[in-house]
Amino acid sequence: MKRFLFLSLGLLALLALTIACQPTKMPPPPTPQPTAIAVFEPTSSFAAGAFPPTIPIRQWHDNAWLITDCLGCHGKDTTGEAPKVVHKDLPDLYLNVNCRTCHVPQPPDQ
Amino acid sequence: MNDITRRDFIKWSAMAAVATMAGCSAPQQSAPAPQAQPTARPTVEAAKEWHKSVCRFCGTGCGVQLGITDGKLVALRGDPEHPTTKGLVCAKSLFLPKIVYSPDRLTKPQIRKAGKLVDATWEEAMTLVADKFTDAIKTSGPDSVAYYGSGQALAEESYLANRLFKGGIGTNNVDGNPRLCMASAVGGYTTTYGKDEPMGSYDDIDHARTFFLIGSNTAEAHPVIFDRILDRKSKNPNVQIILVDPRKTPVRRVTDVYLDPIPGYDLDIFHAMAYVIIQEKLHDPAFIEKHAIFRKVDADGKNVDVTLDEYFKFLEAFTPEKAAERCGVPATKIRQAARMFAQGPTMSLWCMGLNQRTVGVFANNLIHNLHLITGQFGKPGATPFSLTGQPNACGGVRDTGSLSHLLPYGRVIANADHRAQMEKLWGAPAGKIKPADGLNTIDMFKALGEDKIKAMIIITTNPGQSLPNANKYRDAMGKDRPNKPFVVSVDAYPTRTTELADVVLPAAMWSEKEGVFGMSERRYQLMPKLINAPGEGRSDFDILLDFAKRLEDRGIVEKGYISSKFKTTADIWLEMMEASRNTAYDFTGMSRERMKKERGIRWPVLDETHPGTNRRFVKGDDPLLDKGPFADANLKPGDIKIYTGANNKAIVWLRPSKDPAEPADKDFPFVLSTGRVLEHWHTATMTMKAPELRRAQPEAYCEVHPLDAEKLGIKTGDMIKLTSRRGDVTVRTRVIDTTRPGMVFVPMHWYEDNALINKVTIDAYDPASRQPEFKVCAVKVEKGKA
Ligand code: SF4
Repeated sequence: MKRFLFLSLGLLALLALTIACQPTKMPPPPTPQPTAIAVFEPTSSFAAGAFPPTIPIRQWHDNAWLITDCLGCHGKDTTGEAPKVVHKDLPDLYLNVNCRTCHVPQPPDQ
Repeated sequence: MNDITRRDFIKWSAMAAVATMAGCSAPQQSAPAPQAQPTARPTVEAAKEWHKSVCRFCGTGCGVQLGITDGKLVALRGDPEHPTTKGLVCAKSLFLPKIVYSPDRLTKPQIRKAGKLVDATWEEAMTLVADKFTDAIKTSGPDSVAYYGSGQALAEESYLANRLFKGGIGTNNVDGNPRLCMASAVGGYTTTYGKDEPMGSYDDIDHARTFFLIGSNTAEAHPVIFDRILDRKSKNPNVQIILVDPRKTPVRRVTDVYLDPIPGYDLDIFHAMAYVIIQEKLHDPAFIEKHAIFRKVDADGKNVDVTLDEYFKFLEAFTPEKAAERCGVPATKIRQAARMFAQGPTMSLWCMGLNQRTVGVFANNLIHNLHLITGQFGKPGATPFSLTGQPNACGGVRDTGSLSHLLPYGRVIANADHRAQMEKLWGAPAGKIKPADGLNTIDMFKALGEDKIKAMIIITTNPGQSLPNANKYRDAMGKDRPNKPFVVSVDAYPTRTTELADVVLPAAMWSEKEGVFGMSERRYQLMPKLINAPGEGRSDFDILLDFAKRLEDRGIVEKGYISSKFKTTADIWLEMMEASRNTAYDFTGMSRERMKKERGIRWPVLDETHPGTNRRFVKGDDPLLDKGPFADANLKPGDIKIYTGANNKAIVWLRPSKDPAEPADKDFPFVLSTGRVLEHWHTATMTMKAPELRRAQPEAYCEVHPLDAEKLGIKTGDMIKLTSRRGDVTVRTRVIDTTRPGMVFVPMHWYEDNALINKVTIDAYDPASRQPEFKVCAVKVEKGKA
């Protein structure tokens, strides 16, 4: 009985979700503060002065990792302020979903 | 290596296998181009010498190289020569040099006096420990003491503790934290194949066409395994990923079929997939005929063998449509998943979502069922593979038999021959090992709370935070009361457990001692001692030797039982090799000298020249089919023989589907599930020590579905209070549609009182594996106060 209550609540909510939000739209990221912008040295794969390379604007990126395609903003052909990936030999699939394996999120004030 | 070459991996790992430098708060630049060797220039220059070692976090077991200068660990980089992880590491590992040198390391023994922990000498502390254990054993018998160990202790340390308690003191009260994470996987392998541990290896990732991921947030919990899966998929467009997980983890973003069951109701999915496979004749009758039998448990609790037809009849209660009603996943998706699974080669990978359940063993059995009926077994890329969360849960605890029902290398307490074999090898008097199982983790801590356990030693683990229903067991360990049991905690850092203990002993960790870690794919790797522990820290091994000698001196353990035999971990390794001889785990070809040179070896391995076993039970690969008690000269290369099984066959189990212990209800209408974030590990006593990891994920949070958030009037950033029948936490909200409506998710790492999520989780456990159901409990949710 309890399970059915949960099931039906879940299904109703799921139906509503399917109609209403497909999937959550990420708001655009806040404009990066100067301290949080990754500046690349011409010869380096990583942001200058950043080791291990960090991901700024922590809160936005927490959710972005779950929902959106990293290359949507960081792909080399994209426009916008986000720094472009420079990993020449990594397959796109890595770059889409697995950035945080190495890149540690960092709050904007640090 | 097949379609993935070592060269590719080295190239890519130029990015991933970056090195980090101890104490380098000033950021450094890295190598100029991805094609360069995977080293960061400043770090290479800083390190005078490099040594191979292994990461001490998850069961992926990544090979690392450690840079040492003047006895100090100055850098860590991925080891490109490592055969399975190929130079890849994740962020946690990169910060190990900082974690090791954290200023809050414990450096002196401490004894609780008048309610406060105060510094003591080793002599004072160890005398007190030995006296308290002696008193308890003399007044209340051997079963009044207990050892609670860890999948992070060295294999030699767990083996020594097991030997001391079961064969020396005479109690089977030996358990450890793998009970909280892997016991159901052990139960699944042993009930299906007769013995524990995966038959396949990470090499299968390079051959699989279908990945079936169940209850595994591989992207965060095992990032380097996930890298390898991504690599396979990125190079082979036909590769498909099925994910079963009620939460949309980052893995979801690369899946082809995503099944999100109501938490606790996935067994119906697995049965329904089996139904579709047989109904559509996608099963493999020849494999079934040769290698599987079907079995059910009847009303009297007896095992009864049945036919394939009877199995199919049983599955008619689980058609995809019927399953959909219970689990909330559309029937079409279940059918799609079943067809993909049968296509193969299929590699299943699962983790805590399947194991931390009151039906954990059944759930594991059902995954094995799918492999057995389709013949997705013993071929490249076709294997059921359980992932492990700790670096040494497999080699250290499961294989050495350091749980309350086990003895080393596949032996069990309940078997009189097994007990006699170990008594003989250990030099213990006949009958010293008791015939009844000891207390499992939850029952052990319950007994502590009831003052039935009078003295307990806890090594390299943090039950004050990691046990479910934590308030209850924190009281058991630390609440002041007349005749309160005596608790010893051995750790490298102050934890939520050391704060409850009567004696705290400072431990050497990781590279401060030498020993073996055995990771998920049966690979044993030797970790060298490269640096000294700070202050007066000693290895768990040395502490256990000291403890054993004092018990010998007090007449509790036979004179010389431990002290006359072992001085180092290398000494005891010789006995461990011998204990494995002629068992299904045989690693008699894995000498210490060999392990120093090689980057881990996968058992079985019977002689020094054998390269280690990629696939068990396969002629031509598994040396046990050529030599020893399981040898079979009639087999041809590639033939399979499940020599540990019932009459050499595996069992397809007819298991009922059962509800979780505490589904959502009127009073507690949400389901809580717990899990991990990439940047922290377990109770975060280590990862919070690296400022970069701490600031990456500084604060506990709760994911709430947008529909629920709207109803509750809660938005991202608000404090939210979660209350179960056992306790409550108040943490920050993240409104996001990762969970199903009606479900909330909180990572398990934070230790502050307001955020310690195990105060809320349930301690109901699987009657077969005794593993608690961390993944499902009922909570109510309301706006909290900041
Ligand atoms: S935590 Fe796991 S995946 Fe990350 S480096 Fe260590 S062993 Fe590898």
